[in-house]
Amino acid sequence: MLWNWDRTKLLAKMGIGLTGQIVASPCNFQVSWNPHDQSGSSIVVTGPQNTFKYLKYKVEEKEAYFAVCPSQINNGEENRSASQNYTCHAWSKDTGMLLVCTEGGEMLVCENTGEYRAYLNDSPLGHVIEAAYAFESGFLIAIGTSFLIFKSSPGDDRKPFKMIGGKTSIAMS
Amino acid sequence: MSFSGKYVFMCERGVEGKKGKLTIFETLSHKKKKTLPESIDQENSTTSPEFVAAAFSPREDKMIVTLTGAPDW
Repeated sequence: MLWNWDRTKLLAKMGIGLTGQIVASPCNFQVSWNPHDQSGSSIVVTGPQNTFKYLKYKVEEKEAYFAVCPSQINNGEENRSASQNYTCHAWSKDTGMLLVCTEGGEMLVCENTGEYRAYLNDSPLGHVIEAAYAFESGFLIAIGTSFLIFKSSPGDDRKPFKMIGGKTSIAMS
Repeated sequence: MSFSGKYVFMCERGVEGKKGKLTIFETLSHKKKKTLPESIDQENSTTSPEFVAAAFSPREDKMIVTLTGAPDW
C-alpha cells in the first residue's frame, strides 16, 4: 500500500501474490524504495516463498497504481539452486546494485532495474543472513552474532562485490 | 526513519480482531503525527492484523509504502 500519510490518503494498493500459510522460518519481509531512481517510483519487496517484486508506482489520469516489472531473480543461473526464502536486501550506495540475501546464506546481486546480475561465491552458505546494511563502498552482512564485509569491485562483472577479511564476531563474553 | 531524519514510524499488531496500525512520529518533538489507517474506509481496505514492513520514500518524507501481513497477500 502506498500512502501520502500527511494527507492521510491511500494512493495505491496491490497484493504480492502469496497464498496460503507461510511455513518459512525466518519469515522476514522487507520493502524499500530504489534510492537511485530519479523518478522516485521504484519499490522492491522481498520475503519468504520466492517473494521478490520490483514495482513501479505510476499515475495515469489521476489514478495511481503499481506495475510489476518482470524481474525473476531465481532463474539467473543454471545449475545453481539458491533458497527462495529471501531474508533481506540492501541497495549499494556506489554501484546502485541491489543485494538480495537468503535463509541459505546465498547473496544474489541484481541490477538497479531488478534484473539478476551475479551470485557471490563468497556467500556464507548454510548461515541465515539476517540483515544487510549498505555503506559507502559495500555491504555489511549479519549472520547470527557475526558479520561479514563485502566491498564493491568495479569492472569485475562476475564478482561485483568481494569479501574483505573474514567473519567478525560481535558475541560478548 | 525517513531519509531526512525528521520522522520515524512504528508498526503495531492488532489483537482480538483489531487491525494493525502504523504510527508516524516526529523525531525531534516526539509528537505523534499520524496513525494509519485513519478512516473506516481505509481500515476496511485491509484484513490483516499487522503491518510486516514499511519504508519512507527517499524523495518525499510524506510518502510511505507499507506491506500488510496475511491474508492480504
